[in-house]
Amino acid sequence: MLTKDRLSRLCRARDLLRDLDHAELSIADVAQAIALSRFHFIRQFKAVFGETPAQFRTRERLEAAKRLLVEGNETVTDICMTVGFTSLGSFSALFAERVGQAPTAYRKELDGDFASLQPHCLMLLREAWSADSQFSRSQKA
Amino acid sequence: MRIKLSGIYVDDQQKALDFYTEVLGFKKSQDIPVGEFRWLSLVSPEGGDTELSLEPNANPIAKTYQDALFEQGIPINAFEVDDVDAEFARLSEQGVAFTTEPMKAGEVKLAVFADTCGNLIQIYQRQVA
Repeated sequence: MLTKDRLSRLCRARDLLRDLDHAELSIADVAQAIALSRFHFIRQFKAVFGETPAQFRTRERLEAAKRLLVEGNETVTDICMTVGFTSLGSFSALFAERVGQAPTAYRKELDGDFASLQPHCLMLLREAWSADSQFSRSQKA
Repeated sequence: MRIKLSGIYVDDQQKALDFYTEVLGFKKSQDIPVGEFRWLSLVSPEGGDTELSLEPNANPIAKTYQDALFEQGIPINAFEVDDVDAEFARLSEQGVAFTTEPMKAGEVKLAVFADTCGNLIQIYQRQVA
């Protein structure tokens, strides 16, 4: 049973993991900040949020990197450091693995199209069912 | 006019699809790629034609809304079940975290759990008088 207090502490941990200004915190540090043992923190975080704290933080950092690549002019190296990675090589490799293309290629493809990074229901529905969508083409084929 | 489609925000569409199909037991209905996202919807295996879309919370406004409900312990949506106690047992067995164990609330019996995608979901059972 997840008490209100425990839920509140896990939310606080989630905020810390998202916060790029606290990138130096280890998972054990975050556990300590919400007064849970590292073991219980990881176990409960995964039960509630579906991934371990480390997996969550990595996903959040990559999402932050995508936004910075599209909306700003910082170099890939600067973005890598800003979102909490210490190695450009591991950042670029992980980005390519998860997103499907290298950071520079991703930036070039979106070319400032920030709206496509934060779609809403109507936009998804419209795009999915538009006459030239992949889905519509497959239906006609 | 009909209610055919409802939606919830999720923090990761693939993670959401896995949980809603493999743990809760819904069936995938539509899965259409839209850029790096998907138009993704589910139906219940128990019938009915209402679909539930799993929408990315990538828009900061969506994330703020979703987080605020979650942090206040407020379910974002509710599903009807035949037996809340049985669903509580089945889902608990699979590691689902409940914030409210089965309890009577007037005409219904309800429970609330975390959907692993940033939401709390209520299940409820209508009580036969």
